[in-house]
Amino acid sequence: MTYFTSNRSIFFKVVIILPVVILILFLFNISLGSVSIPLPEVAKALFTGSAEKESWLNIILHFRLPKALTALLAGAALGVSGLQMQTLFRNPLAGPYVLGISSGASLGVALVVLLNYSVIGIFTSLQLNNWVVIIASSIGSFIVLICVSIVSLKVRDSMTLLIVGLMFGSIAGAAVSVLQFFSDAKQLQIYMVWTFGSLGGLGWDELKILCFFIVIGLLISVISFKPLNTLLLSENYARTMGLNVTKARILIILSTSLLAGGITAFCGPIAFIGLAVPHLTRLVFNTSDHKVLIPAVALSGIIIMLFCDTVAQIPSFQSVLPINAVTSLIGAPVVIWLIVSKGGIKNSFHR
Amino acid sequence: MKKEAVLSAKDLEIGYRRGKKEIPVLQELNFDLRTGQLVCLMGPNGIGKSTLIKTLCKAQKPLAGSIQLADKSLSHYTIQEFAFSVSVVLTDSINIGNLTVGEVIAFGRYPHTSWTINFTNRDKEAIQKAIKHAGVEDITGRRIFELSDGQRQKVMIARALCQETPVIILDEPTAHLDLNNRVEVINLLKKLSRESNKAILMATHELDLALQAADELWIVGADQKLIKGFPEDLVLNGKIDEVFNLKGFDLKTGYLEKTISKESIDVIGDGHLYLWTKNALERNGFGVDPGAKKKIEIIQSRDKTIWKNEKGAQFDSLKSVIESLL
Amino acid sequence: MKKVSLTVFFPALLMIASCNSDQKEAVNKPSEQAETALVSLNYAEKLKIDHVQNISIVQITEPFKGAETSLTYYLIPKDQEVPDSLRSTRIIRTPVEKFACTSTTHLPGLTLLNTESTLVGFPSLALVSAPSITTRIEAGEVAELGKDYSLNTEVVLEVDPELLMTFTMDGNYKHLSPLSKAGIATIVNADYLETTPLGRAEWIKLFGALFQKTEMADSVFISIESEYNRVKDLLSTVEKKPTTFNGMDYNGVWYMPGGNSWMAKFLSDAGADYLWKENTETGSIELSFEAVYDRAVEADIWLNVHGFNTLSELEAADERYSKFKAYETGMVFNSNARANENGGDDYYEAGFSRPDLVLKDLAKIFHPEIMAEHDLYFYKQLK
Repeated sequence: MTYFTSNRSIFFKVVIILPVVILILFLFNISLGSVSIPLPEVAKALFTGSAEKESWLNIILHFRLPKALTALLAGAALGVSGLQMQTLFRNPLAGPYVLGISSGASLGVALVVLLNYSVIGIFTSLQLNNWVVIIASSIGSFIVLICVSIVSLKVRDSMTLLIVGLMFGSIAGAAVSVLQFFSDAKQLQIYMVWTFGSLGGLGWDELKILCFFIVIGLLISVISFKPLNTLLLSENYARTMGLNVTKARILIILSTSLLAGGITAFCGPIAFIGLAVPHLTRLVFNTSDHKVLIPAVALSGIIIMLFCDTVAQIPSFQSVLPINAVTSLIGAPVVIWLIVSKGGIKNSFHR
Repeated sequence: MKKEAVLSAKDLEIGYRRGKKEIPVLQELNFDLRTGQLVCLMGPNGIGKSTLIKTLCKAQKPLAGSIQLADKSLSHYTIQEFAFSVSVVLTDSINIGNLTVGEVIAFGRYPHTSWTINFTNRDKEAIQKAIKHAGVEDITGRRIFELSDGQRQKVMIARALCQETPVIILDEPTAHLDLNNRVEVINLLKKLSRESNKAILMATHELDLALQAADELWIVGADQKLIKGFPEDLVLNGKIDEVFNLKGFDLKTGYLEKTISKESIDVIGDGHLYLWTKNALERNGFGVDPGAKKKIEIIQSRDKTIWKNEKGAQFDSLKSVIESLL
Repeated sequence: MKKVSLTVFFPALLMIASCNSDQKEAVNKPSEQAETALVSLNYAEKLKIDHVQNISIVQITEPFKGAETSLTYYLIPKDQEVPDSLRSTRIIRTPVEKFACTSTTHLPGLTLLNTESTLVGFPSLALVSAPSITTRIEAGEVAELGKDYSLNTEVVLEVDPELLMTFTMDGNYKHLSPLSKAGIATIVNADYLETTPLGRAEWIKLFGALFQKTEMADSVFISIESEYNRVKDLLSTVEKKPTTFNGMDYNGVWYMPGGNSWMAKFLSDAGADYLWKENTETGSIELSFEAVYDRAVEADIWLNVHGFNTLSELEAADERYSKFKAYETGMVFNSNARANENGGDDYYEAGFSRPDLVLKDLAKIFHPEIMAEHDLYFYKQLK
């Protein structure tokens, strides 16, 4: 008999197999790039902090390692936030951005970038400082988060919240369009580049701060797995089982905002991962138990993100593909294949 | 022996609030739900049964009056405390097909666990007991999406059971079920009230089942009042007729009203064969009268039954009997 | 290419001739006439100008990147009747007295020929750097036409210039059709597609033809050309060529000028060793940060870190910038010495028509010992 007690095979997958795959992909990711560095040199640089050429050491320590770690954080954060939104809204199409977080972030960035010269005038440089973008994006997400939280205190029904989130998204999107209309080509280009998303832009200082947000977000999601499980039945049932739904909702929204908002602020909006990874994980593990799903989704998210980033580098080519293009191009067919071969997501996520 | 009241209402008024305006649905409700009792809450659709259920489940606040749950007022219960006292089976459909029956039943133990959801032996015992009581041992490993509606309903009742509360409230547990499953569910509830001494309140609009199983009926009608009583008393004093405004159904005999448009026939026979022969005739518009000229005699031998009319013709089925008369 | 263009000219020339009996000679040898009347354009590849009698025939051979058909304009002096045969072609009456244009790079065509007074409209006035034009703007003599691509057609109609010079990135001329219906002539400028600095500067001759200042334009160009070539020759003998690279990372993509680009040409003329010179692209190439880092970490000089003024700003934007040797030695230069507070930058205005000045700047950066007499004009070193 099974009742939400992780059985041995699931435990084995989550604790042994996934981390091993991650370790292999991580090393693979670090050893590949536009510049070809021999594998022994990569290992030497990683473990002894020295390499034949100093530039190789720098490439590994300051380019590839932060990027791989960013991929790690982004994969885990987007996967888990997507899972939480799908459970909260009981909607398989929900993802990390349904609450309007990325729209809010976009609006923040658009305001700074596009009004740069005309109104604010404090940022005279054409190339925006990373921190300016990060702060603008965070403020944008945060304002949307506050609005959504206020609404979530007032409504009993999460569906309403979903629609309100979509509306906030539309408002922010429209505001961005208006801003774009009044901006010149160079500003637009900067903004567009941001919307492409990137894992490679972070230095160690930024990475530390991002890591802080993501760890807090993940911790909140870990302590919410009872509320998340309880919400599987229905909100009404959850209430009769002693769950304070409003409180749970706030906790889940907070966690998602930290996770998705943090990644959006530091890397730009990254598509697909948050929507697809929870589905993939549910299909592979054939469970709805968040006690299994949260770690499994985090680890699977990391695997997919690392894989996509490795592909994006197209080893031995000089240029890189935009990460968003890769996540969608590679991920979507994989999901379609998995879903079709398993006979539809209906069984794991019945409407 | 008067059993202990666990859930009682006094001068309760329920309904909705639209801004400052109050829209009452039911008023002057006074009732006691006692341990070991199965009470059916009945009434036409849309009369306010769900509103009452929601109010009793703390999902909605009463407009006036008080509800007492065990030793204190319902409004003083926290949502956690409430979960220890009342378990609920709702009409909400369970959408997450990936869950196993065991997992869904185990949800009932959630109020008793910490945030890590680790089940103690005590929890596991309760789950096993609930599974056994509800008779779902054979399907605990199945996925929810594989179940029939009846099985799913039993699983939800098992889930409520292992919550181990003195009160269970069910909202239309027999809706969408076929006759067999309806009977099974209602018998299960009846058994639970007897054996586990639980107070069970079930909203339903299925009069036949309620009459056969309920210890007490609470009937809400169009006048916004609640009538309660012993089921058979309510039938005989016509209260049910009044509320449900039954058309073409004779509640006292338990049969549909028959209109006799054709001649009368004298049926000779006894037992269930007599009853069903009478039923077939009446359904087809014939009267049954011992003094009638036409006769149908039921002759039962060891291995078959034949019907013989006054002219001596024999028939081997009721269908051919009726055909000969038409 | 030349043959094609001539066959295009034939009918037009015949038409001109047929309606003007005085020009029989031109009719007899049209091709010869066209050849000899071709204004000598030695560097520009996307522009051709023919003179037939008083009429200038301007051909933009590649109006936008990848364009397959050229655009031809007939520049007819105002004191001359428009021949009937040319009625349905693109006609511009010269000299243009009310002029509007859409890019700051068009403005030097006015300042170098002293025709600023013809300018009546320009989009994004705040971006203009040339003092002779900003004084006109301050006096309210130049109308704001909108922003970038989104020209405000109503304002253009109200200002009613005789000619609007524009550019197109994608061959979309739709927004121009209401203007031509209203009798406003338009011309597409494709100078940005030129692959050499002098080729781009040579477009001054188009302005010469428009304002009937052909000789002045020629002499302006000749002085730019000779200055450019003088500096180039001076540097051609240097032995030690400093290594250099260009630009910066935009969210994971480093746009580096291709080996055949306009910037690469500048760098080779300035006696620098451009690290991507072997590349064959004429536009920019997209590289990953680490690819740039690997090749350029030991480079001597780093150019064009857009928008940055100080090394600390650069490090704040991305700490990895500080790992380049050029950063450590402070040899980072940017072309924004003449940027204004509104986001305008003279480099993007005058820079393209004064390649001699840009080359001198670059020469000074790479070989200060040779260019001792020159002070940096567009460029400055990051502090």
